[in-house]
Formats: sequence, C-alpha cells, structure tokens
Amino acid sequence: MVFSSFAFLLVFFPLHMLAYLLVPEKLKNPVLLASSLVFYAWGGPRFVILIVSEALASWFFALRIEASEGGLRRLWLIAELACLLGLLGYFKYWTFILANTHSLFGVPAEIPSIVLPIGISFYTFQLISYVVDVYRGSIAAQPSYGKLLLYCSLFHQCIAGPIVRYETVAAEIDHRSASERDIYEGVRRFSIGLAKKVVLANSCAAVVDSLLPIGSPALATQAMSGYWLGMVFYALQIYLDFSAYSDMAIGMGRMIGFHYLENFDHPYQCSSVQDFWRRWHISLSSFFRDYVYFPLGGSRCSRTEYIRNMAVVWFLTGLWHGASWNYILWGLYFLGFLLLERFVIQDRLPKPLSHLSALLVVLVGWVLFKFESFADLGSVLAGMIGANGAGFTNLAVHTVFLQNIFLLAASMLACTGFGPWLRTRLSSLAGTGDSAVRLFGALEMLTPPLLLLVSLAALAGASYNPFIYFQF
Amino acid sequence: MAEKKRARSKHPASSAALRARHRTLMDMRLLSVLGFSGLLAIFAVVGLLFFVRPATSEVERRELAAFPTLTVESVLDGSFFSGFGLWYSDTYPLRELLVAANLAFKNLYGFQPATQMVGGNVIADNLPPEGADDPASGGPAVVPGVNDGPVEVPTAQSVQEDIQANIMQGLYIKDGAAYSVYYFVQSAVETYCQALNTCADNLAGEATVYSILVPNNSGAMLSEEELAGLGGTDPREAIRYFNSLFNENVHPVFIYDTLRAHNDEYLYFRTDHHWTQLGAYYAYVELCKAKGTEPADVLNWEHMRFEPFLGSFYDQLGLGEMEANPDYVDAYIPTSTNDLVFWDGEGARYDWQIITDVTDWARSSKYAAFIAGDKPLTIIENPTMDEGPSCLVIKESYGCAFVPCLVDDYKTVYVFDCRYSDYNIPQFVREHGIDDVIFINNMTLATTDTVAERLLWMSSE
Repeated sequence: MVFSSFAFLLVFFPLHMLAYLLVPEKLKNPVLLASSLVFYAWGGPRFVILIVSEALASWFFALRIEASEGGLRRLWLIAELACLLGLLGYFKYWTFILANTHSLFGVPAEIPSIVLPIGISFYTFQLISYVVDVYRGSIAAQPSYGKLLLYCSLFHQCIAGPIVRYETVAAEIDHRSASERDIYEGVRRFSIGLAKKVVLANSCAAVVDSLLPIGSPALATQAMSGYWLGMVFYALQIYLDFSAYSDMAIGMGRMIGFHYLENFDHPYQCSSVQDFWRRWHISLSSFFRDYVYFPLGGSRCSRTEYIRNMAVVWFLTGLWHGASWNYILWGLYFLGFLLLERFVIQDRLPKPLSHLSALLVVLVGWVLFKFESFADLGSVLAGMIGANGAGFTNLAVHTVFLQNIFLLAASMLACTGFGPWLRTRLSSLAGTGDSAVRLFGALEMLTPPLLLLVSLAALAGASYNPFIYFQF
Repeated sequence: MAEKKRARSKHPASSAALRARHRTLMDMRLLSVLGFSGLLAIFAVVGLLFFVRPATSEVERRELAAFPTLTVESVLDGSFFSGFGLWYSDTYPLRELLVAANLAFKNLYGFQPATQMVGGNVIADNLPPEGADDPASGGPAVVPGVNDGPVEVPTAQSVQEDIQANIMQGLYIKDGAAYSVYYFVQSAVETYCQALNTCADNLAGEATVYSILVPNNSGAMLSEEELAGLGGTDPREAIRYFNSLFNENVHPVFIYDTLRAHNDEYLYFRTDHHWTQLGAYYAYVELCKAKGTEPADVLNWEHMRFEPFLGSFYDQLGLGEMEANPDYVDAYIPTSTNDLVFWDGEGARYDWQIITDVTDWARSSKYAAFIAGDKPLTIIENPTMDEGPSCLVIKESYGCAFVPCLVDDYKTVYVFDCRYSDYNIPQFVREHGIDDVIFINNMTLATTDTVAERLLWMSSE
C-alpha cells in the first residue's frame, strides 16, 4: 500500500487513527504495531515473516551484545550483520550477481526470479544502525521484542524512509504525547507531502513519460530541448516524490507524538555537489557516514585512504539505490565530482557558478539514475548534446512546455525554501495585529483541507482512463 | 517614573493581546484539523456506500475494476489487496466528480497553444519506394512470405488496446480540432494485405473482394504543407503501397483523392477519431464506380442530427476549445428499411435500428447512432427486394457510418466487426451465397499488428 492511494487515505488511515485514538494509552503501541503489520502485509503477506524475523534476530543479538564483553560482543555483531546483510544481499542483489556471472561465464544457465520485499532496504538499515549503536554503547538494547518490531515496521517510514535511528524514537516508543500544535503540524505536513506527491510529482512524471518513454524507439529520436525538458521534469519529480514520502512520514509521526528527523533540506539550493549530498536523503547519507565512512577512517587519513573510503561509500550509495550497474555508475559519478571539488576546485568557483554547476552535475546524474539500460542511457546522453540529429526542438516539445509551464514553475518553487520562509514571515507578522493573525490563521486553517481535496481529485484523475470504444 | 508606570501597565496588555492572538491562531489550527479529519471521514463514509458504486463508466466507455476474488492464493501473493485497492478507487462513488474537478484543475498547469502536437514522437517504418504503383489497379501482387499466420489469435481486448494506442499517438491539434497522424508499420501492412489476399484467393470465382482504406483525418483534411510537417508517413503513398501488395483478386477502391477534393466539407469530426457519414458517402460513391453501379441518393434520405457530440479526442485531451465548439452527427436513414438484427458477443440476438435516435445518449456516444455500433455480426435485410445481391462488410468502427449507404443496393448486408467476430470469412460467404466482400478499415487500424493478424486468421481456411 502506498500513502498516495484511496485505499490508504480513505480506508486504512481513518480506521487506524480511529482505533489508535479510542484505545487506552497502554494499547496504543499494540494498535500501532498491528496497523503497521497490516500495512506491510498489504504488499504481500508472505514477506511479513521476513521483517518479523529480522526484528527478532536484531532483538536477540542486541541483547546478547549488551550482555557480552570483549570478542564475544564482536562475534554477536558479526552474526547479526551476516543475517541482515545476507538477507538483503539475497533478496535485492542475488539476481543481479547471477545475471552478471551468467553473461560473463554462462553460469548459472537460468537466472532465478526473486521478488524484492517492499521496504527491505530501509528496515534492514534501521536494524543495522540499532544493533551497531548497541554495540558501540551509545544506546541501550530494547528488552521488548514488540517495541523493536514496532520501531522497524512502523508504517510511517517502513517502506520509503526516512531511515529513522533508534535513538531518535527510543524514548517516544515508550512515552509520547502529541500536543495541539504537534497534531496540527503533523496534519499540515502530511497534507503538504500528499499534494507534493499526487499533484506535483505525479504530474511531472506524466510529462517525463511523454518526453522520455523508456524502452521505446522514440526515446532515441527526441529533440534536444525535449531531452533537457524531460530531465528537468525528472529532477523535479524525483525530489518532489521522495521528499513527499518523507513529509508524509514525518507528518503522520508528529500527529501521534513521534519526531522524526528531516530527510531533505532543499537540495536543489545546494552551493556545491558536496552540499547537495548534505541536503539530499540525509538519513541515508548520515547512515553511510556513521557506519561506513567514519569506521573506515573518514578524512583523517592519507589521501589514498581517503579516496578509498570515499570510493567504498559511493559505491555502496549507488548500489543501495538499486541492483543495476547504472546505479553503481551514478554513485561513482558523484565520487568523481566530490573528489574534483575537494582536490581541484577547492571552493574557488564564485557562488552562483558553483550552484549552477552543481545543479548541472546533479541533473546529468539523474540521467544515469533513470535509465537502467545502457542503450537508453546512451541515447539520452547523445540526444542531450544534439548528437542524434533530431534538431533542437519540435512542436510536440513546444506543446508540452507550454501546457505545463505553470506546473514547472510551481514545482521549482516547491523545491525551494520559499514556502517555509513565507510561513515564517507571515507568522512573525501575525504577532503585530489582529488582522494579520486572522489572515495567517485563515491560511493555516485552509491549507490542509484544501490540499487534501486537491489531492483526492488528482488521485481520482490519475485513474482516468478513457477508451475510444465501449469496453462493456 | 511615570514612563516606567506606563510601560508596566502597557506590558500586561500586550501579553494579553499576544495570548489572545495565539489562542485565535490555535483555534483556527484546531478547526483545520477538524476540517481535515471531517473531510477524510466524509470521503471514507462515501466509500462505504457499496450499493452506489458503479460497474461501468459511460464517460470512459469501459468496465470498471471488479471486486477481486478472495482465495488463499490471492491473499498470500498480495493480488487480492492490490485488486481491492484498484476496485476501491476505480468504483469510488464520487470518482467522476473528482475526475472532472481534476481535469479543470489541470488546465491551470499551463497554456493550451492554438497549435499542438501530443504524443508525436513516434517512429514510423520507412515506406518502401517500390510500393508506389498504380492506385487503381492494385499493382504487383507481392506480399513477402513473412507471415505464416499468427501463432495465437489476438483477443478482442488486445486488439482494442493496440488500436487505442495507435489512434491516440501523434495527435496534431489546431483550432480546436484534433488530427491523428499516420505512421507506417511494415509488418502490420504486410499482414493486412496477406489477409485480404488470402480471403480473395479462397473466394476466387465465388465472390468479389473490395478493399477500402480510409485515411486519417490529417491525411484528408490538412494542407499538403501542414501534413508534411507533422513527421508521419505520407498517407497517400502508404495507401498506394497497401494497394500494390494486393493480388489480382482484391479490388482496391482508392478514396483518398476524392476525400481531399471534398475536404472543405464536414468529412471528419473535430473532437473524435471517426469520419462523418458524409465522408463515408464519398467512399460509397467510389465503391459504386468500382462496381459500375449507380450510387443511391443518400444525401437526400431523411436524416437526423445529434448534437452536441464530443468524442474520443475530447475525452483524451479535455480541451475547453472543443467543448465550446462541439461536433454534431448527421445520420441518413435508408429508404428501404431502418431495421437490423445483431448478435452480441454472448450470441444473444437483438432487433435494432440502422439509425438509432441517440438524442438522449451521452454527448460522447453519438457516433453509436450508426448500426448499433460495433458488433460481431449484424444482418440487414432489404424488404423492398425479393431477390438481389448480398454483401459482407468487414469493418471496424469507421464502417459503421458507411454500412447504411449500402442498404438500398443489396438484398442482404452482413457486417462483421473484425475485432469481435470469430467467423471464418470464406466459409460464411459460401454458406450465405454472398456476392461482394468489402473490407473497409481506417488505415491506422489496418496498420495495427493485432487487427491484421486477426483478419488473417478470419480469412484463412
């Protein structure tokens, strides 16, 4: 189930909230856990056993680690990591590995088809962070299996992040309360995320699909401006889509008293490629920083070791996003630019130029990210420099641009900090007079319900599928 | 001292004012949460009204998703839940209202330029230059032996999906009218021609086979320069290529030039992918010329007008310019009869009208006025003839406007819609002693692989 669906919005979520609000305090966690398992089971009940088992292993190993000393602690940790990474490797990467050995050596003769359990990358990393933190002694092991299972299966963030650290929610799993302000901010954040996803991101995706149809021969014959316009819309889509899920997760958490950390910080306002990665998918970047980069030695080492550390991190970052070479290439592409910034550019570019060049690097990076087929990737990269002979523009591209020009502007604006800035300004003004507070209050009051209405209409609109002949 | 006193007395007042403003703000935020929750609750309750959930959508012309079957397997593999989600959203009682609201909202996304191209980046196969032969004679009977018949007969569903995709690719929009561009596909054209050749060979000496390929509205209605600039395949040359692949037993009726000569008339709809009955009439006149018969005075028959008509292009594009200037359907009633009989996909027989009064039907359904729409088998008996020739029309929806023109000329007109009919054409023709077999299809549909494959299957013995 996804948040942006009628089934979630009008069946699951209202029923869940009703049950959650009606039960006494001691039953709130069980209700939340039951809802989370139902939510997870919606995508395929057989994988519930996987998340339940991973949580069980992590609960057990964390308690063993806490109770042990010396080398035994390390052994328990290694056993835990072997379990979690082994399962992740099997479900997410085994087919990829076999496909490569098949194409190189002809073995195996047949490549098995393994269904990827939904959210496995997210909850596996959450559990790894939990057990490693217990091993490091920075948190206490959770004695209750149910509470640990709740932490990793919590439907707010289980399938699309952010990767919530246990320490962030440890106290709130045991005791939490949602103030009047928390509830409002949660509802507001959720509705903003929902609208970002179903109104902006989905509309951007439709434009991308029309300009850059994956796997179609037409992908190779688009006009140059069509490739660029398509990729700009894709860059907007991927940010709006991903950050919208984080918004909704953060919003739903806040409604009931969880305070998850921010996962994005207006990444397209970055001043450099490095800055982009400080602002993009922060929970993943910080995971690799804390659990891979720092343990390897970070930057306090020789240049060679630093490059090795960075290469490991960016190889893994690429691989985490998908079992395909293009994701690995995408990770290594950023490695190249990060090293270039550190050793060659060294903050010597003027700020506007640095910002523009970072955006260009990110945009071209999205090309690597989007197209898993190297044939498609080559077609698009060639087309972007006008090497496919299809000309600069055509009527179809012109039409798409004009039909979506305000969507483009609104989506760009939604990527900036303009909205939060405006809210802060209006909030300050609200303290200066009764009219101002009424104006600001009206905006605050109308935003969530209006965004919900627009989102429901957009969701229904996405299912609009007219046929030219009667199909009944 | 006095100032300090004033400040002291002012400060509590300011704090009170601030507290009041804060309370006002929080009250409005509380109202917001209540409004949000209330809306969710209302929409959730509406979702529970199972008895008002629709099963079909008139606007979209389709069956909506059915409630999934509950089995242990469907639960375990998750298909029950995904099916439930699809059913819930597809049949949600307020869905059409929300869809309409969303279409209106999407108009805010940008401008609608007067001239547009939608989905135009389509790659056509190159038209072989040697295919361009004498359009009237049919040219050399050369069909490469690439097709040994389809391994599997395309289902009506797959044919419809292919047609849907082909018709809606490459739409040129100008002045509130949409024009579909033609894209040549070598394999489909070869299969289509092989189907007609096979049928004609099987019926050699028993019936005469005619082929009428109807150009898209862009080919018939746009200027040469405009058409050339759209990036599709030259439709005239493409029809000539089709005709060059027919053998001597297939008689092509070349209507392209005739339609272009009349393209200042209302030959095609602007908001729908079909032609008008006037366009079909000119094709009928050309068929009569090919047969050496006198055409009926169709344009002076009693006729009915149905308006407004907003067809498939409008459904797809939702342009306000189309809504402001909708089409109308003129339907001419044959003098001999207005009765027909058709059988549906389940084999049930219905008595119907050749021209049905669709005044009260949805504005998207006016083209259904002609011969009850697309049916597997339709039979029209001419009561004014005791004896006379008979014909079989093998068509898709373009043929609907054409068939009424034939009614006065034949004792019996049989009609197959090639997407839904499972009859074997040669056997049917022999069993019913049919004289003329008329294939009339829009050229984009004739260039659809699944349509061509299905026709080949129906034509083979």
